[in-house]
Amino acid sequence: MNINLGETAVDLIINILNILILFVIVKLLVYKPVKKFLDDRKARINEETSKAQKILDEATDTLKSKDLLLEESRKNAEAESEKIISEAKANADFIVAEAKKNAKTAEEKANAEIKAKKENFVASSKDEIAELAVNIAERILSRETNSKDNEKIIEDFFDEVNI
Amino acid sequence: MTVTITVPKDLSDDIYEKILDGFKKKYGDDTVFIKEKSTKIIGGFIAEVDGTVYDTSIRSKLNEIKKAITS
Amino acid sequence: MKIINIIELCVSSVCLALGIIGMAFAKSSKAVGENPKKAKKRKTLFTVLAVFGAWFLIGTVISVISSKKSGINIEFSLLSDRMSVFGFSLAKTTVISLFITVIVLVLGIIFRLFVFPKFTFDNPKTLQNVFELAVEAMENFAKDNLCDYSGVLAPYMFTLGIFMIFSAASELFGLRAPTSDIVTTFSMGIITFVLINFFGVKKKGVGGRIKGMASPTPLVFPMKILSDIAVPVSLACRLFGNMLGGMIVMDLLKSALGGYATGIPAVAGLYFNLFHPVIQAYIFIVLSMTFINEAIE
Repeated sequence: MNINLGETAVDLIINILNILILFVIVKLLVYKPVKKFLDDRKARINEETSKAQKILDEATDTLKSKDLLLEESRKNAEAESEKIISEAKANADFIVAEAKKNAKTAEEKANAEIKAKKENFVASSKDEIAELAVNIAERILSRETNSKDNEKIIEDFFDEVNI
Repeated sequence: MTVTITVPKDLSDDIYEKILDGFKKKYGDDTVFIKEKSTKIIGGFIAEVDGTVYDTSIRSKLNEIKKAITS
Repeated sequence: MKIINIIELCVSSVCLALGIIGMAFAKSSKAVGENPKKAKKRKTLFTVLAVFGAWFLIGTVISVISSKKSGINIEFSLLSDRMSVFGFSLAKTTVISLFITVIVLVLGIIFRLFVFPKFTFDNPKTLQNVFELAVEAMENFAKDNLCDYSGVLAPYMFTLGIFMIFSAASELFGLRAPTSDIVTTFSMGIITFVLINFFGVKKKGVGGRIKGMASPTPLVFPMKILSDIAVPVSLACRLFGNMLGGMIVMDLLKSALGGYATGIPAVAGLYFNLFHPVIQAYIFIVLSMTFINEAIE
């Protein structure tokens, strides 16, 4: 095996140049376009993703605002119903109180009437009894009065008058 | 002087005389007496003199009592 | 024709015939409803018999016709043979390397003009997929190992990979691969050496690079210089030795089989001419990147 250094050196230089030329060729013709293509695709995916994300955010916002609205209207409805219920309750209470009051008044009136009637009755009874008593007294006296009683009366009268 | 005396129907004359005596003592002997009888007096008499009325009847007393009770 | 050849001929023909008939039978026996495993076994057996018979026959015929001696008789030289081109005397391997460049240029132009514009964003086809995979893998690789200058170096590593794969392919055509020539591998090593120092100086400055060599103690300075020089030499020798070894083994195999060298060298070539070079290329590239990274750090 004989080694010719000069030829080997020439070979070496040629190989180095060859690889460099190959590098330029590959980079320009193959590597760059494919890389550009990959980058483009990535950019497009990012764009689509951000677009989708934006739409998602918008949808979430809309949903949120809808939820808020729903919540508000629900609260309103609750308040309304509460108000109505309390009003109805107040009404009912009022009616019940009124009825109670009326009942009491009626009761009092009835009691007063009864009392008046009783008193009336008692009074009239009293009158009747008095009259009856006097009548009886009158009859008895008219039967039992004698001249001695008359004498006494007259004597008493004149004693009194002539003083 | 005129005195009207109303007496019970069954009054005895003695007692009537007593009444007259009494009035005579008060008004004089020349008073004129008018006698009236009533069934309603029961006892005593009612004498009316010159507007003044002397009422000693039992019935009047009874009426007073009645009035007093029923008032 | 010797007696033994005739005997060999007959034996091989019989084997082949038996094998083919057996294969036909095996296919029909499946319909009988036997145990499927047994039927498969039998079928495989007959297929093997047929293949063996075919190989034997072909080998016998060729060895008889070309009277090739089977025996281990090879010759090779460390440096490849030379040939004269335009009055210059160049090594054959250098010529082959230049050839590779020309082929890559032609293919590159074809791809650039016809294939690449047809790339689609969604649903890439097979060829497009291959390119995408290769470039993407190289990019990620470079990013992992290099971090800084991956923009310039990734294409260079890609180029090295292409070169080594093409040179391994040229082995299949019976030519001597450029990478089994020490001159070629040494040129690749020199370029790597230049790159290491270039980026080291670019990142740290000349003083910084020398300082890097002098740490932790100035005592290691000569050792560091020695190891720096050893890097490209080791890269070159590793690649050269592996490729040359593969080539020698293939030659041994071919010469040992002589006339019967049908099929078997091809199967062995699958490993020695395709798989092995790819691994060596990978190692070369990774080591280059590691050393450059080390110089940058």
